[in-house]
Amino acid sequence: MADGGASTFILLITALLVSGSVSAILINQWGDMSSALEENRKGKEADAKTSVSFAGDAMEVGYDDSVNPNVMTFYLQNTGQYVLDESTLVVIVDGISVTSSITTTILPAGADWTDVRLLEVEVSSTSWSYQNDDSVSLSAVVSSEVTSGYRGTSTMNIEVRLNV
Amino acid sequence: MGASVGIGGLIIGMTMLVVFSMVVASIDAKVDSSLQTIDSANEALPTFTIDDATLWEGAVVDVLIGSGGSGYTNGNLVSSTGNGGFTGTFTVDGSGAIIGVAITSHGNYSSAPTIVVQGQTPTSSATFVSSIGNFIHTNVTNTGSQITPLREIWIFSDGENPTNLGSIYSGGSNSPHWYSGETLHVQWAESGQLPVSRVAISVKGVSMASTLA
Repeated sequence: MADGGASTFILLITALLVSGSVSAILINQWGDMSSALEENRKGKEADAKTSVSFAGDAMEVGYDDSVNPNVMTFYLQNTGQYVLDESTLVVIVDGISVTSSITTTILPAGADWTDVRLLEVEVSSTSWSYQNDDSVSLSAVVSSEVTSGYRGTSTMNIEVRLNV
Repeated sequence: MGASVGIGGLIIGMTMLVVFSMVVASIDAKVDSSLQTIDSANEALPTFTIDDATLWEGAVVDVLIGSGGSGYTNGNLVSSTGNGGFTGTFTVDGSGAIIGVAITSHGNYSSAPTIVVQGQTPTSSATFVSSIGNFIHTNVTNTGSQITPLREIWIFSDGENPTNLGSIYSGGSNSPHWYSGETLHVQWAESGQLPVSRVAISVKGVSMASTLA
């Protein structure tokens, strides 16, 4: 009888220890997972509220071949909810990045690129030899200002015709 | 009996773990669903049409007061040469001298018209100097359900010279928004490189263009 009581007690204690430790591990894991999901959610929210679009006439993108290097001028509109950071702008023309030769101007002049302002973008490259009415693939990637600790990112892709 | 109690405890513990796992899986699924909702929360794109677009190359773009004259009361201005359709208004000071002019219709002329005061007999006549230039007229209709602030709409001529609609629209309404079904008559002076052949409008990421008549 005494042996039966001891073994029963051992089994009960073992069951409690096993279930308790597993529960502690799971709760800890859930906490980590919940934090990761919250971080992911904030990042997704920032991306969802960050948007940039081409503005103007895709058939009439300005191209000045009278200067060296040639200059392409186009406009981007902030179509999201977050303020965009023009210093993060990356421009890709026909698959080649021209990020090192970008000049940007906010229109009308203002400190921040908000949803009511336009960004005039001038990019140049010595390797271009485009002609009037040439079509080029234009891509732009830009990030938002840091909001609640996160930056959103948006990409714009469009096929445009150059107007020399 | 003691063994059965222990085994019962194990079964209860394992059952609790299974239930806990199911709750975790359920919450995880809800979070995924929320993320998808955020992704799809973008606003619907605006839709609109450019009903017509016309370039008037002889519009009166400026009227300067050469001599203000005297003996006038606030009134209207018209052109005495040509039939281009210019109209304007003027304001006077205490002596009846014209001190301010506003253009209400730019008209369209082959040469700068002579501007005169309509229907008044002054003590001393005023004179004006008009100049003509290029003016673009267009009617655009919001065919979607979006209500768009005018300041978020940009107009381009030949892909250049971006002009904010909020800064130029004065079509008889003080509303700073473009409502569903509303047609706006937009007109602005074009000072860029000529000849201009196309006009484009960009609204929240949607751009449309039309050839100028």
